[in-house]
Amino acid sequence: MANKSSASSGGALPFFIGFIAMLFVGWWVFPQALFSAMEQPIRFSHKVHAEDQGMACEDCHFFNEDGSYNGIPATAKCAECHSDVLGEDPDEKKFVEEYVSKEKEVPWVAYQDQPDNVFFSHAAHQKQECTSCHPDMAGNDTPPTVFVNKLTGYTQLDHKMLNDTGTMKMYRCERCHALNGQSNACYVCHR
Amino acid sequence: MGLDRRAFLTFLAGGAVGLGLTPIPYKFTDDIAIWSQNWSWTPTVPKRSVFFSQVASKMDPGGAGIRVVSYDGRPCQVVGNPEHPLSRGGLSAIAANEVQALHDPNRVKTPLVRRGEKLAPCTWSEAMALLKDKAAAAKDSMAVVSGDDTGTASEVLAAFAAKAGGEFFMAPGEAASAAKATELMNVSGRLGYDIENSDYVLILGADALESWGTSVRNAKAFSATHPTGGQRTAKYVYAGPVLGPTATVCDAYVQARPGAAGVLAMGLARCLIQAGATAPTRDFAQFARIAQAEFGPARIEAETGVSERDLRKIARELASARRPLVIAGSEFGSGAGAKTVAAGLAVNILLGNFNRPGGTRAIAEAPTVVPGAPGRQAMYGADLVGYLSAVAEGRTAPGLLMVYNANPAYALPRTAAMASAVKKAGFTVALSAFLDETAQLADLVLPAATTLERYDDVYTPYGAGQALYSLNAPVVKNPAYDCRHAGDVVLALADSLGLGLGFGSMREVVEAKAQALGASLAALKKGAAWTAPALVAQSGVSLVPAAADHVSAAKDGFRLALAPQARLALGSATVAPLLGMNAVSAAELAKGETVVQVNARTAAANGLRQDAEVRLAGPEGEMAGRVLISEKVMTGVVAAPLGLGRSAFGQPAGGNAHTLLSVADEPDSGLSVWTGSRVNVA
Repeated sequence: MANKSSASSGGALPFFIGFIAMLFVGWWVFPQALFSAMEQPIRFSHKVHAEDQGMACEDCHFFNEDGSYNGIPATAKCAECHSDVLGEDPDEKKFVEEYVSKEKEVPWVAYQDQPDNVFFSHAAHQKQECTSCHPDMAGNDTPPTVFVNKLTGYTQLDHKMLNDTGTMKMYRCERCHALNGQSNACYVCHR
Repeated sequence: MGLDRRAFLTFLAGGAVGLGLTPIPYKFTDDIAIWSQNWSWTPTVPKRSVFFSQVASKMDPGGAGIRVVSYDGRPCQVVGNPEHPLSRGGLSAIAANEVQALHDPNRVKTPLVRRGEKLAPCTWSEAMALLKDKAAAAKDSMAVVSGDDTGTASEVLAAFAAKAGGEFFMAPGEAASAAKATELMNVSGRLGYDIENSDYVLILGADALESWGTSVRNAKAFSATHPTGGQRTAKYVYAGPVLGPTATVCDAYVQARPGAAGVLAMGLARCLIQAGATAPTRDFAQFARIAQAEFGPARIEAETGVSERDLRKIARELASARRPLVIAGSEFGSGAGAKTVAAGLAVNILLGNFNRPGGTRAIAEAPTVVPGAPGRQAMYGADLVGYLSAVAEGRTAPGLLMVYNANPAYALPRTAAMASAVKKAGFTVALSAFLDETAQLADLVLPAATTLERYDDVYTPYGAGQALYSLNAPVVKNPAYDCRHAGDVVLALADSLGLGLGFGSMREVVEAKAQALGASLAALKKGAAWTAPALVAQSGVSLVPAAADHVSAAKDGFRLALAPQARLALGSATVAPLLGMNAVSAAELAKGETVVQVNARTAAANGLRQDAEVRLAGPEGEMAGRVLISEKVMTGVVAAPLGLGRSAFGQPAGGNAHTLLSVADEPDSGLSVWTGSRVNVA
């Protein structure tokens, strides 16, 4: 009886294999399957614009006069300089031919789109460093790959389960509000 | 080692324990909640940047610059443009509707051709082929009407009419009156008013802060000189029959009868001359004699209701101001004729402020760019009301009548006759964005693009203080309907008839205009306004035409003077009311009827009671109304809002006060005058 039990159950080994296999699935396979990696439609170089051309962040990412935040600039804004191809970069040529000339908007993938159930005002957060929430893109020559959660549509810069690079989760908002003595009442963000 | 049932269950148990140590259950639980918030069928706010396009409003008669807020190339909102000289951040009620105009249910969405009593859709190629046939058959029996006072499109239409041997008419308005006034007085350039730099602004009749001229800019100039909590730096005085939007905020208000602005200006001229004012013109002595002999205190008081004492007080204040300015015009933006504007200009010349800071100015005309187009004064040479009256009476009949940006069947006096003329023309083509009263009577309706859908331009709207040019590029990336700019239609028509106008599109036309002005095309395309402060030097200015033959549309047998009230929120003479313009007040429309206002004394003298249903009868037509007794109205005057009674848009609310207007012919200018019309109320 004792031999049968030992032989048929394999002892702790199946348990251990199942345990390890699930850890592998949970920490490796699952993230790969949950996120899809996307590249930006145009290889936009922040480095060329910020460092080489001496542009300020605010030249493209500015507050409108009504207080709303411009966010990602529209094609028409880019076309103020790139109405024609200026250099030899194939992506710039592609941008001018496919978007500027056709007056189409580039389907940029935002790294940190916030959902509609939260009201976020950039104007109210002007005193914070941009990089408190956003990755520092100023020296970036090739836009990082965007990882999009297939279930939620949320985006981030990697496929970690707990991230602080993409769409902001509520705990991050609450933590910062608490640290800065700001209200965490529901209606502050959920209006 | 085999995998039996027990081993498998043990394996699953290990997996289950392991699962608890992975993010899977926690991440799924979290994400499922988020997933349900992001269902694709849930409407969301556009996730793109806001983009502000800068154009000049073509619906606003004042041509104020606007910023159009777009998401993904889709216009969503209009705000004022702080950098545009005619806006300075302000926005008129009519320009605020430039976005709503795109989706107005009354828009013409496809070409329409008359089949019997109805208009039926057709294709653009069918419509253009029909138009070509009709134009070829009409030959020189053609009349072209444009209501675009500021755009080069009118130049295109005028050049086409000239090449075809037809006649061209600008729709009447203050710009037409001023063009004729300057012609009569031998003034070169177009008339402007440097209201920003004036320290005393006398407004005679013209509703300068609501509907006259560059009203947004005028209001900004007013508020700049009347800071909240601060000392005013200019005095504004209004003389007119109703304590309306302009009179209410002015520093002083003088009651003056409707249509009396010209005569009142001549009375002021007499007072100024008596006080020693002169003018460096060769006919000053003759002008002074006419002013003295024909505009004495008795006539002024009888025709304007302004006492000699008040007149002299105003004249003294004008004379003592450092930079006085007099603006004279119609209370409702049309029908004043040339003499009213001319008399106002004469007073300004007597005050020595012509072409001076804070005064009236002669602004250079823009160079003509379309070959064969007549000059500005020639474009304004013919009188549309007189012509359409002749058509209605059968004295003439064009084989082809083309109407662009005008609505003669609604917004002109003798309204029934104007509508009859539209029907009597051999073939009427309406180039219109909206299926308005004129379009409904037309034989062919061609859907016109709106401001945000077309290349267009604005050159120095009437009233502006300096030369100014704005170029509009389309803001809408994907227009909802296949509409075309009337200018493009006429360019194509001219080409098909072998009357080539030298341009393939309105885009080329406006770019040529910008080049002719020496303006930076790149800056214009970004929405910046081109301005030029240079003024036109004058020689041989004549004052006498301003003094002679002032006429009124008043007819015998009608007791009350009619004071029509124009408000841009109810549409202009050319633009249909739109969705956003439905803020009609109870002082304009009550229980489905137009509210007509009289004061208590007038009501008592005419047996009128508050809220009574009445009929207003003019020499040319009637209108139902409901009485509101208001002390904002001068004795002997009945005030009625324009913009109601739109029969083209379903059940009309209220009545059309244009039907009450009568017409008089103004000698010298050849213009029709309809200010000062009188009515009976019973």
